[in-house]
Amino acid sequence: MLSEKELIKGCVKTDRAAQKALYDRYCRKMMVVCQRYAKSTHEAEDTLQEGFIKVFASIKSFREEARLETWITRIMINTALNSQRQKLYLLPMVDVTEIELNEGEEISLAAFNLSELIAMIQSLPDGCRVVFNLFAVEGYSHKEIGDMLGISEGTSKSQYSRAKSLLKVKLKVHENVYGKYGEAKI
Amino acid sequence: MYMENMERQKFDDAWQDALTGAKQSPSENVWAAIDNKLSVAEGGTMKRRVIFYQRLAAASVLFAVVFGSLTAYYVNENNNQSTSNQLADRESIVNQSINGESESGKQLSNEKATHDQVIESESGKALEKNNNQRVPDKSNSLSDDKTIENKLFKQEDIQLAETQSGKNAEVISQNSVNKNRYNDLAKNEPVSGVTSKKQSILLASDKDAKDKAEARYKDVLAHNRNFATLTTSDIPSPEPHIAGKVREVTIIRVLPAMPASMMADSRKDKVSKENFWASVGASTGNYSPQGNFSQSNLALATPGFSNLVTNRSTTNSSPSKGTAYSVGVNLAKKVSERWLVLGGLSYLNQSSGYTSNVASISANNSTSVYSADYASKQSNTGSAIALTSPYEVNSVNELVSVPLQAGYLIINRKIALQLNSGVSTDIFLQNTLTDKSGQLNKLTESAGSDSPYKSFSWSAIMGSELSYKIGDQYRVSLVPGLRYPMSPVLKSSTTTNNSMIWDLGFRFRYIFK
Repeated sequence: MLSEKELIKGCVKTDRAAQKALYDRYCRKMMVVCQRYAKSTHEAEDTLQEGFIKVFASIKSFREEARLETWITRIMINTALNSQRQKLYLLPMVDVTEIELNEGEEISLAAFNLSELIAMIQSLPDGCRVVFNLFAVEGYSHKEIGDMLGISEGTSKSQYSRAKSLLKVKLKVHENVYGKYGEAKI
Repeated sequence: MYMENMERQKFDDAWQDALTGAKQSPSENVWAAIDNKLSVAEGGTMKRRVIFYQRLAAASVLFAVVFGSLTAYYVNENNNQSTSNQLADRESIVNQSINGESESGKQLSNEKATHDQVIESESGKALEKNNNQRVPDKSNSLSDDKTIENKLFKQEDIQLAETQSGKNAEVISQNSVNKNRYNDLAKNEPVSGVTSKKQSILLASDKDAKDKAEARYKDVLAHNRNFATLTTSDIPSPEPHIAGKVREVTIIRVLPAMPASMMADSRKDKVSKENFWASVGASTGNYSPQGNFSQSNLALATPGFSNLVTNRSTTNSSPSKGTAYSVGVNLAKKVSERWLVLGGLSYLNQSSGYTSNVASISANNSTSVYSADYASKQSNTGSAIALTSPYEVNSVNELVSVPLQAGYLIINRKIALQLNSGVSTDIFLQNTLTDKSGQLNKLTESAGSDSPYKSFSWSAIMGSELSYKIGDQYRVSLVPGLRYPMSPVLKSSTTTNNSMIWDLGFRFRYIFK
């Protein structure tokens, strides 16, 4: 198995075998990333394809200060955001106070498989889905998200709150069908 | 912020745990599509490479054409100048034949007393030999004598011929005592050319023309024209004079440098990111030297010597094409993506050879190479000047050059091509004259207030640099270029005499990171 350095060196030389090895090593993780931001699996695969093309084209500029996986993930997210940017302009400006937050409630997603969770995220409206991914999964602050997407911090917060409430509704529906924490599925 | 963190700790952490590290295989089509796009991109790269090398080849051909054309033009110019000098030499010989014969015996005696190497009989024989080689068939009049000049000068030089004729006419009219002797001499002159009626008429009766010619002759002398350079070698048969002909010079249109936009590549990472570098190098090439001294300089610099030189064949032939080499260091700094500034320091050595039969004798009887440019200094030291047998002189100018140039990067990749142009301050170190036979002492003159050489002079420099990157911080390069002096090295000279240097250099570059 090739080391990360050998993979990078091969990709810099445009060695196709090295490129395929790099793809094979990271494509499944990156597929999940792309799915979280996309509306469908087909759209996610398009993003994944475009993202890897960018990875191979710009791998010469990769500095080993960061992990390769983190760097590739960043490219995938940027690629996804670029494809979503047109939709993000249409994000509604919603006052944060209008959203009623139900804090302190504990949830567990252990009962849900990956496909179900991704399906729930993909069912979110475009703006909510992007902000939710950036805030809840990637760990950006609302200010950073606002700067990244060109929206206000308040808009980011409202979008996140909306996404959160929608997901809770979906989880509740799921709970009603399958029991709390997916007990019915067991 | 606290609320935000609280949210993360509960709801978001649950999602993060569930999704982080999760894997799902994409369809096989994804890699197939990536593979296909990569192949297309590589094909494009190959195509760009081909275009790049095509443009590089085109640039090289263009450079070669321009370089060749300039060289051909330059060589033609030199040939024309050489032809003019030869004709001036022949004119001087005619003068000498006419004027100097009566005094030659006295001058030769003086010369013999001055130096053992000067042998009167040899010189006399040499002069006689020259005359014998021009044995007449039928000349017996003054006008016949003028056929020599008519033969030498064509219509393009008619003014010059008139000047000379005027001088001769004056000499003849004022020196009736020498008339018979002159006629005798004239009988020995060649008459293979066609007699010029115009010149005969001028000699016989046109006093106005004679006055005019005399005035012009003096004017020419006052402007230090190089009419007095003589040669002891056999006089070659007159050649067609072409200096006055209208030459058709083909002007090669130098196309502008290849636009940077044509060479731009979308892949910015291929562009070299070198901003500051130093290089060491050496170059060698052809050097067309300035006339180190002329016969007129010789006469003016040494009063009393003019009689001697007008009655003897002295040789200070035009220097032949010399060689030049330089070694130095250069620094370059990029000021924009393609523009850069270059500076440095280099040592220049310009060597040329010519023939002379003038020597300097110091107070202690040591004999050294003579230069008219050093005459004033030599006269101060009590040196005497004497004619001697011809000897080969090697003249070496040594200078330090401080160039300042602007450069433009036409190609900025692993192979890079840049054009440089600017000026150089040349600091004169010294000139050394050496007798190649080793019989005479060498003569060295450095810069200074009593030196005939200027301490500083300016040169225009232009060239290109084709470099190849051999490592992260190293490049090697070929540097063809030219140097043209914008000011003369000699204080007494007002022209640069076209002393252009073509050279080809090699440089090793270290790139600072």
